[in-house]
Amino acid sequence: MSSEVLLDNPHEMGCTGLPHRKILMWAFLASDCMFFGSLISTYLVYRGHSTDHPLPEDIFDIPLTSTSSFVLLLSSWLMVLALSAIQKGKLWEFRLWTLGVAFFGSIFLGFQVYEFTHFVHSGLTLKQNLFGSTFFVLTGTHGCHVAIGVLWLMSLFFYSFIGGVTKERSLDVEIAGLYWHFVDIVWIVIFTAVYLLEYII
Amino acid sequence: MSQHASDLDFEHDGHHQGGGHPSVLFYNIIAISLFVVTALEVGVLYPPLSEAGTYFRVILLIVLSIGKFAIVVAFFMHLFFDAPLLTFLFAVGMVIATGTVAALINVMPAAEHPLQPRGKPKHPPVESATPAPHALLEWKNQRPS
Amino acid sequence: MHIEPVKEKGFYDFLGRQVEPKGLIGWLTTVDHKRIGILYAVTALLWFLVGGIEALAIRSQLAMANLRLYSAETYNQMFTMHATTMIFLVVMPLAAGFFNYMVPLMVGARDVAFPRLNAFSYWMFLFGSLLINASWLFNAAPNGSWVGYPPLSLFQYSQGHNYDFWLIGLQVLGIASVAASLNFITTIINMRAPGMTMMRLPVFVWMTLVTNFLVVLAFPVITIALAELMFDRTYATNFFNPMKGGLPIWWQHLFWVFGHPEVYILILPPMGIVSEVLPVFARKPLFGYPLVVGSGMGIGFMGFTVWAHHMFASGMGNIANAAFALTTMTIAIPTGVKIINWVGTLWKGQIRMRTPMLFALGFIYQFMMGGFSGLMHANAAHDAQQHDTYFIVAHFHYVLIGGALFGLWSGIYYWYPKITGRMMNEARGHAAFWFLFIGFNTTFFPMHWLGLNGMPRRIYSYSHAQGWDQLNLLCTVGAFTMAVAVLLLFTDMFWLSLKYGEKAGGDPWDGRTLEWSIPSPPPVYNFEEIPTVKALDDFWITKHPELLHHEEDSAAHAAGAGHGAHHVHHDDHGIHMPGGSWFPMFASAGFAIGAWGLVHSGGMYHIKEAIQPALDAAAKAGVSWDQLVSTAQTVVSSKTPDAQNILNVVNAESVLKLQACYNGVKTAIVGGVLGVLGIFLWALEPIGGYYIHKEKEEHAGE
Repeated sequence: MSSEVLLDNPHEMGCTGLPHRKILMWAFLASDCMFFGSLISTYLVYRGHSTDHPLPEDIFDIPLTSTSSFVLLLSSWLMVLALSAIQKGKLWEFRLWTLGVAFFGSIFLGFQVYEFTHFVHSGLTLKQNLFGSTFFVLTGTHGCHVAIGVLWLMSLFFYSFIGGVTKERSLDVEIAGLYWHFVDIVWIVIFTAVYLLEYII
Repeated sequence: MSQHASDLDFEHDGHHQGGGHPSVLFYNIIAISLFVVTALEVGVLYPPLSEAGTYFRVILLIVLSIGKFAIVVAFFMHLFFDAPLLTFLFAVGMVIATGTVAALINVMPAAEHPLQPRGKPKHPPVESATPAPHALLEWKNQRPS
Repeated sequence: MHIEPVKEKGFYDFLGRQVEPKGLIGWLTTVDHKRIGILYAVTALLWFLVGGIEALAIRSQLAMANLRLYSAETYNQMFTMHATTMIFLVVMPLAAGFFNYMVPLMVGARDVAFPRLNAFSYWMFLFGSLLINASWLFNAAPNGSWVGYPPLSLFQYSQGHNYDFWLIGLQVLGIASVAASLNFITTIINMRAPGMTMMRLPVFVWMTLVTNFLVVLAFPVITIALAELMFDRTYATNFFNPMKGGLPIWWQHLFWVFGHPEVYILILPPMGIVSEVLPVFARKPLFGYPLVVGSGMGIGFMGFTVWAHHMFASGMGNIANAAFALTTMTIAIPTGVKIINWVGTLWKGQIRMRTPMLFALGFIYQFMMGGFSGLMHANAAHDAQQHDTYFIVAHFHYVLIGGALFGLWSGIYYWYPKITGRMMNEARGHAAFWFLFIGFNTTFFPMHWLGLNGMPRRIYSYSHAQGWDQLNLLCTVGAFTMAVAVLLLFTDMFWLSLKYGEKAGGDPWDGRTLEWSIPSPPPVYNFEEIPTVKALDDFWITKHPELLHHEEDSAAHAAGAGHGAHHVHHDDHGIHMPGGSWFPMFASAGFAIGAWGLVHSGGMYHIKEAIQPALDAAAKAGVSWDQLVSTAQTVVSSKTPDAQNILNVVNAESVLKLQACYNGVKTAIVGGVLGVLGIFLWALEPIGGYYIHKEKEEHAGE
């Protein structure tokens, strides 16, 4: 009863009838709630404390960020389709959707790179003011999570060509999916708390 | 004193596992509703409303994003279909994180409360600060033109 | 018994994986929870010596008024490293050693859920502890107390790498803790033997579960706080920089949101140990098992609601002070419930005064003392008088030594026979207890008075006029008395009892939990057959059927006395044992190299900003970075500015520092890539290992 045995037979269940890795993943996501909770509260607590420009209202671009939010949602959608495909044993469909998830994840990262570059050109750097520090560290950490997710999904994609991803081992995909969706819900919170609220209050 | 197993026993949770994952059509409907909610969220910003509308918008935004959050967690992450134990695990993190964030925001000294309307920065850059202990400090306001 | 290797071939063969762990390589590649537990415990005990020597150094400096045994700067490093070592490198990993060794045995499993992740946690812990202590070699040990408050810990006020070592070291230790905790949560929830329901788990396992939830939820907060401070120091951000509107108090909040649950992370495992030891040596079931478990969970949850009581003196305002005072006082209720239940367990018990019991009793008394002084400064008004005085020092040493350490020592004496197969000497054990008990109270009780007389924490020296001389000398005498106890324990543990101790059978204490149902030391596969559990304290009830009528589930036991044979692995394959793996160590070594690089990139942007004019001048003159660095070397060695007058001596030194930072960044990238590579190789590595076939005759001998 070890992870090694689980790798042999990914559907071996523990005494709760759940695979070990699923429990580990959810406990990790609970931990990540505190992780992003601390970052988001840092951002919110420091709202209005910046002593220098530029401020969010000087540089935020809602249409751009909305588009990238849509892109991330789209990737989440493809993620469930990929999982659904591999659970039915449709390997090629799984590859297609997984590639799609990784692609849209990369597009999201591209948007972020564009946004960061644009902000830096507008004078917002890590050290310019508190807004810069809190904003870049918060969204940058989220971006790192997305990047890890893209790496993970691409690994699964290539692994599927050497027989590593099968219907019997769909748990691998499910775990990666849980991570990906979590990254998506963190963005849901960031999009509201950092970007949208800025335009109202 | 050992027959208290039933209340905290996770043994029976497993039966939900694998009990029929939803169809692709279901996922599509969920995804479309997520897109609609996101569009609504952005849309909330645009109609011109009075000052009182601000609070209406804030509440609407928070409700909409909680809804989105819940939909993704429940359906895309299968918590709705999966064992209650997993919901419990995630809820422990969410409850403590939400409580801590709320408490932190309220207990921190805020120059302006983060949820209050605010304008341009009110603190002028510190000009005559105490000299720094070495030459590395540079407190000049580097406002871009 | 014979061994049949798992057949495997290919890429991983050349790495020299062992079929069956042997020798040094067996230890380096081990994935066995028992070996990892021993590694954790031994490492923690070695750091315990280091932390203890630091403590003696502190007490020696304070023994008399106006002493100058060593510099104030060294003193600052001493108390900072003493606290950091004792908390992160001693109490937590020693508890983790017990988690590792005992939890799978107590829940009736063959290993933890993720053995290689478990090994990874250990190696991360080891490298993190080495990293943080390597600072001594550079005369750059952290020097602003274990709470690391900015602005003191900002680059502007601490330009050495002292705080970089501390920040990155703790970050590495945090990764180790969280990885281990996720593992144990999964193990406890998902790997219980048949019939081992949650409410039949031994209390130690319950406390492990609660502790690991606390780790998983509290460490992310310190991760963020450390990352923000690291960004402030390395990339010149403004999180805690008051000149740009940053609020140093925000660090205090984040630190204590982590820091208070951390206190319970330290104390809950010893509470679990004591809850195991008391019933065994009082020969009675634990009084109020559900209440003990429930109050453990209550303490864990409430641990997240009280953090700001560490900040009563920071001017949070009356409402916040009152709220946190209330939550803090409330947490005394579940703690009190536990103490009542321990006392209830002792009541009318047939008490055997063996060494583990002595330490457990010491725990109850001293933890209670610490709790009382804790209640005193839970009152915010009262705390205004006591904050940052030796009263606080007395309080938390009563809970951390009198509580946590006594509990852990109790665990050492209790489980030593199981781990080594030999009993520890009772006479030496009793002597160690009395030295520790008397030494401890002599050291720390007078500190209450010192604190109320106004002696501040972290003070380097004091004058005769302050009237603290006699009590301080008494404290120092007590500290050295404690050192005698430590020496007694160590000689006994690592030498005398290990070599000459009498053989312990499988069950020397007439134990109640599953780990006593197997031989000492346990075989590598733990349980020949996974046991079936029918009640709380199942093993004890099985041994003492005459007590059955006292138990609620006598009916269940009458039905099937003894352990039902649950043949899990008795098919053709025998018992499968996973093979060792190099990759947990490889991956954590990679991350440790990366962490080393990050430490040395500390202060990068601050330095760059300071010499920006010189860099601009160099760029204008067409001097490349490499040329600039070699010019700087010449300037520094000759102590004269260069011919083009780009660099004066001060700037040249900064250029060299900046170059070191850039090298640090490169090292960090290389290390990170190695670490990720290690994880990839680890994920793809086949299981390997071997199958153990037990012959029939050997079964009979069991």
